[in-house]
Amino acid sequence: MNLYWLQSGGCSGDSMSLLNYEGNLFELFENIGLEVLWHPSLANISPKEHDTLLENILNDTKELDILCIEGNVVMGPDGSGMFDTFRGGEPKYKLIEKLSQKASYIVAVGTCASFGGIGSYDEMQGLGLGYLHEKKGGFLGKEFLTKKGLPIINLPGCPIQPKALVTILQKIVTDTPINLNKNSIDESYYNFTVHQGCTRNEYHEYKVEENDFGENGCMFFHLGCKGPTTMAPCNKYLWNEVNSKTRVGVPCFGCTRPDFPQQHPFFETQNIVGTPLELPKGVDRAHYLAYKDMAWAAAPKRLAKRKQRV
Amino acid sequence: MSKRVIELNIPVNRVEGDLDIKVKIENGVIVDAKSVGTLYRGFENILIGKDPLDALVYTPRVCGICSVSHLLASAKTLENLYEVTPPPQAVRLRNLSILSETLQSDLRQHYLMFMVDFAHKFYEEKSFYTQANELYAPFKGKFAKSTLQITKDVLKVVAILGGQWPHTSHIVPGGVASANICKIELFDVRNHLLKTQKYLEEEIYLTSIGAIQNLQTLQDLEEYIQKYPDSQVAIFSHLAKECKLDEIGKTGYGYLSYGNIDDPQNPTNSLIKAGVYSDGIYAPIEAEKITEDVAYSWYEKEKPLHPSEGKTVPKYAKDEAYSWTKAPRYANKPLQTGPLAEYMVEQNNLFIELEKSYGDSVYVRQLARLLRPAKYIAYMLEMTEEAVNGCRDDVYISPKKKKSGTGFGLTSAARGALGHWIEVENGKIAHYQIISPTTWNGSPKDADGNYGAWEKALVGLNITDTDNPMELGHVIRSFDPCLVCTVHSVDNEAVSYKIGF
Repeated sequence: MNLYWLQSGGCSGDSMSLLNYEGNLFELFENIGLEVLWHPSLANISPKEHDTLLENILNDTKELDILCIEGNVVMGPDGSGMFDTFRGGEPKYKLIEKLSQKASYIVAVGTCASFGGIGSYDEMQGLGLGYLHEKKGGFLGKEFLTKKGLPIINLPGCPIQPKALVTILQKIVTDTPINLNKNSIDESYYNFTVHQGCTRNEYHEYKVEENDFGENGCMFFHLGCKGPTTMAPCNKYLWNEVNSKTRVGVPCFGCTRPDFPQQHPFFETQNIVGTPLELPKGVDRAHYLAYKDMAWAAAPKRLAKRKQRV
Repeated sequence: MSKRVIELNIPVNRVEGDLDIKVKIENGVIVDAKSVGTLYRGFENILIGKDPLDALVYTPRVCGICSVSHLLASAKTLENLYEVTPPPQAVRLRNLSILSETLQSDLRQHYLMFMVDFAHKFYEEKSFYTQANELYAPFKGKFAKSTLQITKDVLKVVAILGGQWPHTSHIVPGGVASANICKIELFDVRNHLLKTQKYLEEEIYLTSIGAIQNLQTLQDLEEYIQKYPDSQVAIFSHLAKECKLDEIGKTGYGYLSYGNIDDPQNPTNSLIKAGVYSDGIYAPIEAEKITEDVAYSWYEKEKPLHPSEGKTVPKYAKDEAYSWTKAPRYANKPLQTGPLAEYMVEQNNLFIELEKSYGDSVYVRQLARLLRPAKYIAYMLEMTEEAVNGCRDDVYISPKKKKSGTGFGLTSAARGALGHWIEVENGKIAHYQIISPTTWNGSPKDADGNYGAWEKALVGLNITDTDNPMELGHVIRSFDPCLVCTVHSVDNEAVSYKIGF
């Protein structure tokens, strides 16, 4: 199978993250029989050769299996798309539209490509390929299916974890069924919260909370941590194989959520009488309040005094 | 003789797909060049009205390749605003984070972006072609593979100290958010750095880091190249001379560096000196001399202004304009920035001699990037030892947050000088400006008609094959282009569009 990678409104962080894949990425591509036709950081074909390749894909002389799009589809200013042009000419979205008709599989790599992400609330008017935030439609429209009749596969994250993408590519190449949830996200990879596996869990359990940086306690109640409300395996499949933000003391910013980036301050939890406005999924507020008050009363000294180093 | 004039529009997208170079070629020689950033994301406008700390989350996302650099710049900007000094141990951890990012970027740039061109069939007649393919071919070359492996190790340092790479936010005004970085973590850091040092010594330089640091003259370099003909420095030097990279890509422009590696005891000073080096004269940075010119940018005409007051009103139909990028100037002059600038500003004798002989050519510029990891790894190991000793010390001082005021922060990303400027009103961001290294190097012309550094480096260049302008690629890549980081803002006013030339 082959793959064409297009960057649009993004920072190339997903590409950079992909290079951190724990195995040898290049060998993996070779082993699973995946040919990278084009990736701006990895291919070395000349501009002319690239033009020919694009032309052949667009006139159907070259079959395209997988299209990976990184970054959102830029519609600004005022719907013209001219904030992101292809070769300084046409808006990039026209190329995205054309290529989308040609690929058997489309993978939206990262939150920007999936849901709009950075610039989706602003003059950049960034759209996800198939969604804008939680609303289906995005750039390609509600009814869009690939030429193989498949929905777009969303792999959110700012950036993605390399394993998320590598797993999907292997599923595609080996024709393994992919289960997508209501946001068209690969369910098997994103099926539990960032909170799961966080080394600060014991502090969370007893509501030992922090107001400022550099401490051991839980960051959910005041410091804006979105770990309990964000679906991603950051504390199961560790970043760069060694760590996660929440473990080290940086709150989760909810970067896999369709509404990322949140439109209230990142380092503050929106509270009602000391309890976060947004509670972990499915939790009843009254019960949660009672439980957390009791938990705090029951907190052992080693936690209350922050002796437990995380 | 009739002139053969070609106008070319060339994507130079190795890192990011958003840089176009427009050149006019007469009889095979570039006579005019325009550097065009084709993507605008509007970070500076996104930040308006946000909580000041949100800059720590947004600005790393300006660039996936130098996210820690933007993070550090934004934290320093807020420290300048809040008048807080981070404790020494925090500064050490910050230095280790940013140097790890820069070191991996230098290696990835050299092997995954720059050297791959020499494995292209364009060079199949050259003596180095077979070897270049074995070493540098994309996906398969020995160094393509080993660079990928070793840079992952270097980046684990950032992950250990900050949770992940890219896009973490562990550097905060007042220090670092990271708790409990002590011996277990720092020994891991040291192990990754020692592994990196071993890679540099055994695979790249074939001699010790110390020996590379001791190359102080052109003669030292030549002797080293003769003694270690299989070193990457020797292979690159031979190949560079065969392709005449020592003759192309010169600008003659001065050099700008905001310094690197903050002094833990006095973090507004850097261990690698900041300054401007121009016509053989060093001068310290005077930040008020930085202005941005919009004569050839898609913005409403205004006189060149300091980033703390620069307005950005879009005007697409403006005559002669061709870029989203403004043109930063220092005392009204264009400058270049990056690894070579860092060496020149610190007045490293080897590079002063190299520049005297070969100018600021592609060869010299790229050699700076190839030698710099030796300098950094030595600092990083030293910094790790200090951090081990200080690992029980404070890493964070909670700043008293001002509701209004201004601040700025200058630092060095892998590609060179990076500055952020902020103004806060009623506790919210009222103004944010970013001048990234690529804004300096890839700037358009200014009102005085001075080209930006890339443009200047291209004018006069011979192009062998206009379908595959290899020489142009070498020149631009020697600056390590990254256009995602040119981020200028546009106000929400009704505008008419005319993009194109």
